[in-house]
Amino acid sequence: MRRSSLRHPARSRAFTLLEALTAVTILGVVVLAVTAAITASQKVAFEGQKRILAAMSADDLMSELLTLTYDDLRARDGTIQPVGSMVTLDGEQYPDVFWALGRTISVENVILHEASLDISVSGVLVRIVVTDGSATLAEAEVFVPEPIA
Amino acid sequence: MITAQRSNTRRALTLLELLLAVAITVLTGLAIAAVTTSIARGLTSMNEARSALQRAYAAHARLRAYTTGALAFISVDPDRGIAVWHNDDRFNNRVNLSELRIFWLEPSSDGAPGKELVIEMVAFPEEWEEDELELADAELAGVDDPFNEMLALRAQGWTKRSVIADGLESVAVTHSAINLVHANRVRIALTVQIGANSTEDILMAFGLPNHKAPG
Repeated sequence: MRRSSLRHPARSRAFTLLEALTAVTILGVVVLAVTAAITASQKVAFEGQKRILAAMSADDLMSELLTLTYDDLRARDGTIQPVGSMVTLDGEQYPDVFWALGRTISVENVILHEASLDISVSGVLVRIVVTDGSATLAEAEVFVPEPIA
Repeated sequence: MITAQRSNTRRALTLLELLLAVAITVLTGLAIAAVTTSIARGLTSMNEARSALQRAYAAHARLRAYTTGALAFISVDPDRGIAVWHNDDRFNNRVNLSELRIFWLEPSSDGAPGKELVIEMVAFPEEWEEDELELADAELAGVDDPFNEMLALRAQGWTKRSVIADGLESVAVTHSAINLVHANRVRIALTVQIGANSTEDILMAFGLPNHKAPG
């Protein structure tokens, strides 16, 4: 054994195929893990941004709708602003940062009954839904009583 | 003996091998540095964009809170700000000074880049009697500049101010009515700073369900 060591002293040798493959695999896994982590954090950040903008645009539209007369308000039922085409009630286009959002308006006739007072109030339930085309990001709902004639 | 034999079998790197090794190490180092820098830049930019959006959201919420129930936007000056008739507490269909709110666009007070949106409203001394209040709470005539009126009151120490947004570059107001005081819907376009060199445009739509133009 000792003679063998002397005859073949510790010489550097090349990597075997298995060693090289193991090294490449480890490197690949590390790179993939880092990439996946960055992508996931970007996705979460983008989702958060969309939700902030969705909440703002839902509030904005509700605020604008409440300036309409009762009949005009009812006429807005079924309005759809597709994703990327949001406009204000007066037709002003939203800036690029809102590109991922769309809105729908529904106006439903309802009668609210207050049992303790035994009174009923008829009106409309205005509902705004902001989506990114696949999921609901924000909603706003307001009951508007019918004006007394 | 063994040591002597081993030393015979090992040889030093040739100059070419050494240069090659150095070059590979340098290139690998540069590549890693480039990737790290790019990731860091991306994360910084993402954080700045998120921060800008949060500032815009805060500005939106506060502007809405301070204009809820407002009667009319009465004046806009791109260099100074927005004047709002908030209520008609004196029931005279005129804008009294105490019913006025000014949203000033001012250079940042702490020296930070960008501008601040500051709300200022009248706060007469609490110990005043009603007749003193009525005397000081003058009606704003059509020719009066609401911004100058508020500055005059500030000089007397009769206003209170608070910052509602910072990191802004500009504020603009648009509407579709004949003139601003007759608009029951207005849009406020905010340009928010993102980092040192870029900006984001945010649009806010405000409805004034209680709208009325001052007489």
